[in-house]
Amino acid sequence: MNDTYFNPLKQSWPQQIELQGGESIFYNSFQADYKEPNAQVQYDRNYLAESGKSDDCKYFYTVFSVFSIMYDLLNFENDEVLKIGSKIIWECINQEKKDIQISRTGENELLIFRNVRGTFNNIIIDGDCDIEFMSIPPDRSSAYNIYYPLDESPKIETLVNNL
Amino acid sequence: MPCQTEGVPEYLHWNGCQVYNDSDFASEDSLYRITENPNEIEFPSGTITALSCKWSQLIAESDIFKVPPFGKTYKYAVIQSLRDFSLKRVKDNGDNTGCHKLTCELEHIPEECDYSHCVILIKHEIFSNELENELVATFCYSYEIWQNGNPLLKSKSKYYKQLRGDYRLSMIKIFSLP
Repeated sequence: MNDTYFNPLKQSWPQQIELQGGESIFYNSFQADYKEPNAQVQYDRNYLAESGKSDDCKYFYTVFSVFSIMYDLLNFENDEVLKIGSKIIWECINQEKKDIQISRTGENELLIFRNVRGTFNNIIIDGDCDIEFMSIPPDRSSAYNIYYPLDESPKIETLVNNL
Repeated sequence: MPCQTEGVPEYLHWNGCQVYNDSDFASEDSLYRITENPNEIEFPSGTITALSCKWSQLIAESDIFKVPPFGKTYKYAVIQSLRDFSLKRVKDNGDNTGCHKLTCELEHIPEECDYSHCVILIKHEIFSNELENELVATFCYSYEIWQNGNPLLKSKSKYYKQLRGDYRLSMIKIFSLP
């Protein structure tokens, strides 16, 4: 994917989002409805269904939309968060991890996580774009975390490998 | 104002009964935490200080879902494990150098329809060195201080981010599934 990203709730979002392989999708009509604890995005399903876009493209669009909503909900003002979020989501698609969930922590951080057979693997991103990975298995005493400060940014592929 | 919540056993209404201190929590008692989301880190569960719990001394385990916040699952910790817990990190540059130590302090905060309600607060002490022979500063972070104050532990530097991150992880590890 190109380094493009968009924020559906901002006025300045691009009309076109280019994805890997030359695909692109156009913004049509979009409505966001954030409902705790499960964020839901209502988008123009007919548009995506008839657009001929790949499932990967649609998945990216849907998940990143939720990510952007959460970004605004947390009052983040750091484009690096959107950039790294878009890269993480696309890398999840590349690694066939298409069951990620977007949420937030109780400490005003963005949360990307998967539930892998009862183990919650979390990528936690704060407003400074510092990243913490935290794995919480059913045997909670084995939980662990890894920090990735902004100045020591991990390879996205490595980060998503853990997810 | 009397409790309006239906189904709360009578003994769980506060009714102005005694409020206990940290020292009243016996080491063999347990604390129960209702988990509203299965992922412990997820809002609203994923807070750091003022972890909301129910105290086994004042509530039967079979009743923990009968008082708010209602939920489907819970986790528990034995008080002794909280007493044994401490997290120490040396800070050797910038402001507030020394040995920072985080421990838990328990506060009984009864609610009208949950007499057993209590919270786990972060106690933050700074010593001049790891031997802890000179206490430089001490803080205890209530929910109000954490949300509306300017608590040192909430500072944006890498040192404090990792210190509070490690505390959050430690609390997750201490609370076990039943």
